Amino acid sequence: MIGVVARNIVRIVFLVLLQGLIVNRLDLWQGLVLPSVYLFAILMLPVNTPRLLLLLIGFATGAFVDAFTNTLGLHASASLLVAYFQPHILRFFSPRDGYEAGQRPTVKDLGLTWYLSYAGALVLIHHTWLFFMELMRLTPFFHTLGKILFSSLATLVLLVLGQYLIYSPSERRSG
Amino acid sequence: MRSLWQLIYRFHVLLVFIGLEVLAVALLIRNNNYQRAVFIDSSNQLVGTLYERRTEISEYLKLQSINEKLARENALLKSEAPESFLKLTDNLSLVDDTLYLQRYAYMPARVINNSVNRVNNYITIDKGLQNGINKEMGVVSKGNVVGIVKDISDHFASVMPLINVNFTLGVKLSQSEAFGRVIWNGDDPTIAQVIEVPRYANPLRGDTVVTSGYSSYFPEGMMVGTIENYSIPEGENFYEIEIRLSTPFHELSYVDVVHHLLQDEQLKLETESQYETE
Repeated sequence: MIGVVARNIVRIVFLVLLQGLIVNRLDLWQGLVLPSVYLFAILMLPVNTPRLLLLLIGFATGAFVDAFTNTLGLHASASLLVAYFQPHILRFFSPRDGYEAGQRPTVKDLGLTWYLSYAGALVLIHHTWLFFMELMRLTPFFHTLGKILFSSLATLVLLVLGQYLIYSPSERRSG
Repeated sequence: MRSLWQLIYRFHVLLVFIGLEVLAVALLIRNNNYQRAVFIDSSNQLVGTLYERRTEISEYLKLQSINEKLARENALLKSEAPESFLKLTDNLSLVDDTLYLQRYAYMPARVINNSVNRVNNYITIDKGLQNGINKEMGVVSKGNVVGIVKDISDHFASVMPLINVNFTLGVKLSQSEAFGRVIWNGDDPTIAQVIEVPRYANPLRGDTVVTSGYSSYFPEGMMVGTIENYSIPEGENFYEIEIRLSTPFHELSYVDVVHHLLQDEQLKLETESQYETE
């Protein structure tokens, strides 16, 4: 149990640093592609995480990302939204017999198709909120829509890549 | 009371979520200039609009005195500027030749007033009777037809441009050598119409329309425009042709007045023969 908590804390810190120090520096396609890799940490939180804790983790993680971009509240609100919807999405995409004990929301445990729909839905929610909150208005609508789609796609690709990276053959189910 | 607690307990996740979300958005608006600006901007739109209207109205009421002051200042400055002194020594550029008799001569003139957005547009130029300008003289600009002098005073002349609904001029289509008349329907100051081009002519899109030389105003071959569109209505004998005018009426600043040196002779002859046949 302590191992799970520690692992998640380390993961969050690592991904927030990765997001703040490296990914945010990427300047792809004139700002059309802005991946949010830190979501990986929130999506990796165990299936049975208490919902209040989940909300707090989501809020705090986003607030840390905001500390790097100087937009206190922006990523916090978006990531909070992801944390709120994560259990709903999990239930929506649950396997026929429900989740087994100890199952984690990963490609390895539930398959690539499952992960793509799970992560895809949450990433889309995150980016839609993020980019419209950033603008605080609906115009330019289609440019923002393009940003949402391309950034979500890029994030999804990076998340799946990450899934394969952490489960290299040498590291067997550790939890 | 108990049921209230139950209700709160039932929705505690949602309530905490909403609370944190409100906190996050509040932080966002509080701490970031852009979001704050947008938020204040949209929430103050009503007040802002009211302020704007009020300023507009008070400015409008002051307009007359502001205008008068500006006009007085303008007039003072203009009367001191060199342009306000009329040159009285303008001469036609005439050429002496024993083999060729000069038929047309040009005199430059400055456009001092110009309208393009009305139906009866007029141009005023700074040459008049004293410079030898007369009624019914053609006005061109770099080889493009501008209009015809209609009224004249000692130092100024008023020109009816092509873009006046009362204007009409004989033209020909360069390629098909067909004759017609150019008119303007009062709509677009860059488009004019050519009428009375007979059915047997073959207009071509992009063909140039030039003065025919039959009129006494302009030499033959002065540019009028290029054909944009043409059609022949069912059961009609004449084409309906739209041309893009080659003269940029919006930005006329200098024009040339065409002196037809033999105009009197031509007109006299034409009227004499007309009398004889009547």
